[in-house]
Amino acid sequence: MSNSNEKLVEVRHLKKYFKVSKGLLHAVDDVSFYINRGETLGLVGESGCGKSTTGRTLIRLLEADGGEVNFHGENILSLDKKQMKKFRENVQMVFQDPYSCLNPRLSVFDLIAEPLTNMEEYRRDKKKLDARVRELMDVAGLSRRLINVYPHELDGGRRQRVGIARALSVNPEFIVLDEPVSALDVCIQAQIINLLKRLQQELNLTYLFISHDLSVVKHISNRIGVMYLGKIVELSDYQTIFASPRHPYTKALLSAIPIPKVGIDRDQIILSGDVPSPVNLPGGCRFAGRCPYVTERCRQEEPKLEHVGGNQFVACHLAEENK
Amino acid sequence: MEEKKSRSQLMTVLKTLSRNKMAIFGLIILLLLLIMGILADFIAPYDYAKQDLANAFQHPNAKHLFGTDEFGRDIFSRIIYGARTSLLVGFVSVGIAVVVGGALGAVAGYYGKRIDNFIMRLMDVLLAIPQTLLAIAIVAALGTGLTNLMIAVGISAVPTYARIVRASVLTIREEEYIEAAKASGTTNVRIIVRHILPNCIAPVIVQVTLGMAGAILTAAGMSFIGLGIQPPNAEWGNMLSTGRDYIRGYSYMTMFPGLAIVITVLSLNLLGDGLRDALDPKLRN
Amino acid sequence: MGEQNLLDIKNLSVEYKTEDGIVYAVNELNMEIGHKETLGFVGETGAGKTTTAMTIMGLLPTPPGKVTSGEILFDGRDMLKIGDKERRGILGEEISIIFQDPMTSLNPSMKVGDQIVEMIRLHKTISKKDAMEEADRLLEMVGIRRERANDYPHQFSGGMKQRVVIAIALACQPKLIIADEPTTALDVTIQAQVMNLIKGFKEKLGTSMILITHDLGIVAEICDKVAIMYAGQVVEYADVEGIYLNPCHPYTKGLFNSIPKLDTEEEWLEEIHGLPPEPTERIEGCSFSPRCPNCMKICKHKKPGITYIDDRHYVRCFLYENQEVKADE
Repeated sequence: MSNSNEKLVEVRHLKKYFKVSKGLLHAVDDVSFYINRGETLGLVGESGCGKSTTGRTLIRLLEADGGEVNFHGENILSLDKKQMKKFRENVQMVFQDPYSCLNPRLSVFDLIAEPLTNMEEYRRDKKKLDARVRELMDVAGLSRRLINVYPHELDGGRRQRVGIARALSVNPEFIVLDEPVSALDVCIQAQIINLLKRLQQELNLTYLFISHDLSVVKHISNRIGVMYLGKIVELSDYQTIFASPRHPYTKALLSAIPIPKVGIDRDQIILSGDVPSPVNLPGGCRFAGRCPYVTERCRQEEPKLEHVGGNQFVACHLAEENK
Repeated sequence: MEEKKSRSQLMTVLKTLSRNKMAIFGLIILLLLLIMGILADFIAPYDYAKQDLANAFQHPNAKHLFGTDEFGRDIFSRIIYGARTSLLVGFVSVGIAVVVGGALGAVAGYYGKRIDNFIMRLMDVLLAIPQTLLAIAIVAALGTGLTNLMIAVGISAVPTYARIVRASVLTIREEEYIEAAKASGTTNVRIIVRHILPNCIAPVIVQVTLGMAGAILTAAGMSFIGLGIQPPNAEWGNMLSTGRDYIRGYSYMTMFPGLAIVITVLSLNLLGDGLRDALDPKLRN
Repeated sequence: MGEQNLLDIKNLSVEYKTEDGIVYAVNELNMEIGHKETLGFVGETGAGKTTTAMTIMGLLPTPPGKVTSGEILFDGRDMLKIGDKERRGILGEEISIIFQDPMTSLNPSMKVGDQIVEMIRLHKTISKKDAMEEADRLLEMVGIRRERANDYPHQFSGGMKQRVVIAIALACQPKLIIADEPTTALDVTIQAQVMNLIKGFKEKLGTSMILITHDLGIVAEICDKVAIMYAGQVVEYADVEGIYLNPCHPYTKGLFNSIPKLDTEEEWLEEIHGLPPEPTERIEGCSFSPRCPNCMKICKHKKPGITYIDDRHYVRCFLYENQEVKADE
């Protein structure tokens, strides 16, 4: 699926913290990864793991507290306003909730045209703008009849197509997709996933695909990163993650997914307890409190993301030992 | 290819509103008052300032529908011109409050932190003073008259709209479509004007109708105590004031302006309530 | 067959009056569930699952809702015809409901223990002390320490709130629990915990359950029977092996094909083209015909009746009508 080894996006030691009344919330805590051009990196995890925050901090919708984000080799976290404008034409985002990511007072035309109206050439030439919007509607699979319709008159799937058309309008190279299909019914989900895949192939797009749904992520990603409480605990290509997960959390996550087949007997790893709060974390491995294989070392020392062979990286003392 | 006709939210709101009989009643009354005010010169049978001492203190009759006052001026004509004054005060003072208060609230809500603090503390200072007293203080400083009255009532209402708009902005600011606009490269000012403010309209509209009622009452009150519109200009408040001295035998002199105030304020309230109901659940979509 | 069903829904039709016209939410629905059985009620948004659940409980707002036909027999009684007093006695005691969003189904200003106690004392004459003891026991049964009975809902996480909701639902040991997407709002690992819990008490207490969901994975894990719903009708009904090993209705097949599979690699997911019908639309013929890959001429004009594939599996589809005739011969 990927046709190059050019690192389009490289994230190094990205940090994002939030001050809350009880202390400091480590939403994204020293996260590093890269994405090759034309590739899809899937970022999975449950609520509170920091995947959405990572996505937003990556494109500076939130200001990072540390680290670098290199796009085409240039650190975008230090760009000024003018340079950021150019960046915004190269990197776009598709949001999760099709019911809240569209301004209810704007028509489909206005919504799709928005990123374009920030560009000189489209501000001056109304005809060009109109033609481009219609073209985008075709690309996203929206009937042109709907051009003057308002979001509340559309169903979730069509609204998401509007969001996709909007993101594609400026011909971006890289798109961050934050749970783009989670709010959609299964059948519509399939349509949108197919659309995203096709667009990636046709337009040579690079995706960061954020989701909590592993089966969806597997279907569309080349490589997958698993996040837990602000850190990446496992990073590997999609086949390896599913065939031989090394981190206990990944294993538990995989075994928790209900399988739509009868007559399967499998050992489900049921984790005890809840996800701890990402505020004022204890030292040591963040998964120690729920890990079925926890040792004393795990509670004291935080494991680093290490290479364990092939394309696989794991942050776990036990996985490291069993290399 | 035929484009699908869309029903914007405005039409949905109007449709819901049309089902509320009380609100429509209020709207009709207001429209009548508006027409009265605009066409006063053509409708009023007499000049509102024309004195006719020989015909003073006449009870309502065929020639003078609402009777005449102590100077023989036709009360019916004065009520009509008074409508123009009251509505003018209502629109302009609320208009000032919405524009100034709205802008302040939007900036405070969007940028937050120190700017927010600064602006809202300023608003708090204004709010600490009762609205009518504040208006009186401003008029005392600037002098009486229509313009100053409108400025005074307007300024005293600024904090209310600043608060309302700020509250809306705080909520809307967190919506995903604002993030989407930022990701599209839209500038902050454009985000405020194009995305945030249009979605704040609902609570402001409701407050505007109720605010107009309040403004009219405040203006009437100020004229009543002599700090607003002075006679011979026709204003319902000052008509009440002068009529007070003759209430014993000539109660009609206070009754008509009083009724006019009550009906206007009531209509505005009915319309405002109806708008609140029509706008609220729709926006939850 | 023999044993009487716990719940028997016959030809239920429910409509809503809205601004845009009449919404035909449920159309001649037929469904049954036996004692100690779990039925998976599967369908997408707008198919009519929640409306059906509300109608069973008698919680349908009327107006704008209206039951236009059918009967709902619960343990022999028609839920649509009983009086309010009798219904209040049944709800909570014999039929309980678990809603999707635990955030809003718990009273935020009442202690969790008190909410369970309230449910118990509504249906049993029992002293407050005994009720509190029972509430503590229930909390432990759902995996919450009994000391937490004095905490408020906001002090619990989403998964734990849902467990409290389950404890309340179980308080009077109902015969039937209706669970409306009970784990949709939860994380996957928490969902596994809660599903495990539900499996546990199901076996222990012998409760029947209607599990409303769009997740075919959960259905496979826990259900005995499955009803697939589309546009207000049950289009396929079978026991769980029947649905998964021999799905018949084109919509059922489409649903299965749309799910990205973990164990196989596929380049493209199979799509069902188009969208479910608008709720106010009345389609001539089979409601799935505009989207059906196997649509025949007759499908566009006539509505399919119920065809039995075998005595535990029926389908509403003209593709199978001849087969039944053959089976009769």
